[in-house]
Amino acid sequence: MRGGAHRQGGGRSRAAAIVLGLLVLGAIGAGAWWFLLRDGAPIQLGEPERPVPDFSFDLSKVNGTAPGGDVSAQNVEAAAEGIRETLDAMYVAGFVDPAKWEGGTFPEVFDQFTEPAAERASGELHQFTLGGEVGQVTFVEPALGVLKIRVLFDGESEPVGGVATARFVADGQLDGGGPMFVIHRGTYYLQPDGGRWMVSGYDVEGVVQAGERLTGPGRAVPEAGPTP
Amino acid sequence: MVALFVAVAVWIAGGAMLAEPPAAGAQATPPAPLGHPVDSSFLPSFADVAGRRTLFVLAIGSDARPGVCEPVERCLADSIHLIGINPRRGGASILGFPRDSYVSIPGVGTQKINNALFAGGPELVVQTVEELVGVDIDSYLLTSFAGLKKMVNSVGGIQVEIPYAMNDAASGAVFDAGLQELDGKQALAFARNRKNTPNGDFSRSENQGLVMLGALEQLRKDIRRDPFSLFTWIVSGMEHIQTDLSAVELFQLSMASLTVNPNKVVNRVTPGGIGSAGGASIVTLGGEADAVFADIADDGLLEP
Repeated sequence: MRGGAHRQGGGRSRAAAIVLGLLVLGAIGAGAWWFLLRDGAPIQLGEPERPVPDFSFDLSKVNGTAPGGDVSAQNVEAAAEGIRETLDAMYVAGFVDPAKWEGGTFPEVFDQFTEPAAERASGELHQFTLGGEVGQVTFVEPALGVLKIRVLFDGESEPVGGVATARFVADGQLDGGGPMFVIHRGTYYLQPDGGRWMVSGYDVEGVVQAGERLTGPGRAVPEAGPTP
Repeated sequence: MVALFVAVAVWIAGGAMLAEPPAAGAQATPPAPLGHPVDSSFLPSFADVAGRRTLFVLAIGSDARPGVCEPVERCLADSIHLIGINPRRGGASILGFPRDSYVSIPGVGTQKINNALFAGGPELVVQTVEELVGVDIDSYLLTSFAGLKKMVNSVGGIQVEIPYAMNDAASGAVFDAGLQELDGKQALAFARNRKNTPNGDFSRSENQGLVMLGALEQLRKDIRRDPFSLFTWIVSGMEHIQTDLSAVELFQLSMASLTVNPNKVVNRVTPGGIGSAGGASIVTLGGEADAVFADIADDGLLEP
């Protein structure tokens, strides 16, 4: 009896050990999932997700003109800021922020255009965006973004139109790990519309290209065109 | 227990290894290489800024001069041109009126057309041409001798195709034939010369159209070289032109004018005969002029 009781007691403690072991294993697994594998886990395994660069054009030259020549610096600054906001939104959505690429449709880019210009521009998506190859790109990091702006005011100091030239250069990575780059130059004609500035005309040139962008002396001002 | 921890560690490490991106070049079938050129331009056309209907703009040059006649809108019209723009066909025409054209001026009577400005300002010139040609004019642009000179100088001069050599002491027009770079004074002299031309007032009106075309070509060249110069042109226009267009409309129409190829603009003068009325030389407009009016009224365009 005693021996049987001992055997019975030994069986119970083995079963308890297995249950405990399973509980420990479950707890470890849950902990591992919580710490390491779930979305937003405090510890990331593998390559960390790259943050979206905070991009805004630098204003290298801004001026205003009006009949009679008197333009307040404050009015010019306010108009130029509005123009910058429009072009920032356009380039961020077209090149910089993957969340705005939306499978290669880039809807926010064309929100910045007047209706006739949007109609034309949306038919040539790749002129303002990463284009149809967007699925190959994992990130884009701007290297240069410079604007020159001139604003036209009427006799009552109301803004009438704006012309902006933009230079945008960025380097990025393809999903296979290879490099890519963007060199984009644009002249934009803008007009105020409902409290914001809209692009009503444009003249753009440049390249979106796989490969390494040439940099260094003599390349401080990047030229449009693929890397030889 | 130790075995369990080892198993968990291996499981986690395996997951981490799986989370690693594949090494570059490890893909079996790499995607087509990314690359596309960027090269495009767009400017709003007249159709974009004014709809698809035909536009008519009247360009008036006043002979106002300090000490001779002022203000600009109450002197004689030295030049009158109806500009027709057809957005659907992407074309434009310029029709000049000899200043001695003897026409009905509403509320005034039959007089030389240049008197309409003196009698009732640019609005009466618009009304006179509307009734004469049978069109609705959308807007007018009025300038003066001094205004033309200042505008041309403020944009650094314009190139004009001089159709024949001329040497006229009265206007100061002394030019060889061919493409010439003109400053404000020279452009005004070329536009005013009627004595040393093949057909007097008719030739002068045609040459005034050539100045407009030269200005349009120069504007397009300047914008190609420096887009910011668009505003130099517009401000110059705002300072030296009287118009019923708002500044926004002027900006939009200036952009749209860049889409017009000057070489495709037909520049003609209303045909007519020479006559006299009350001892003064006049230009009589007959059936040939009516046919030209019907042509431009139809769609804003003239047959070349």
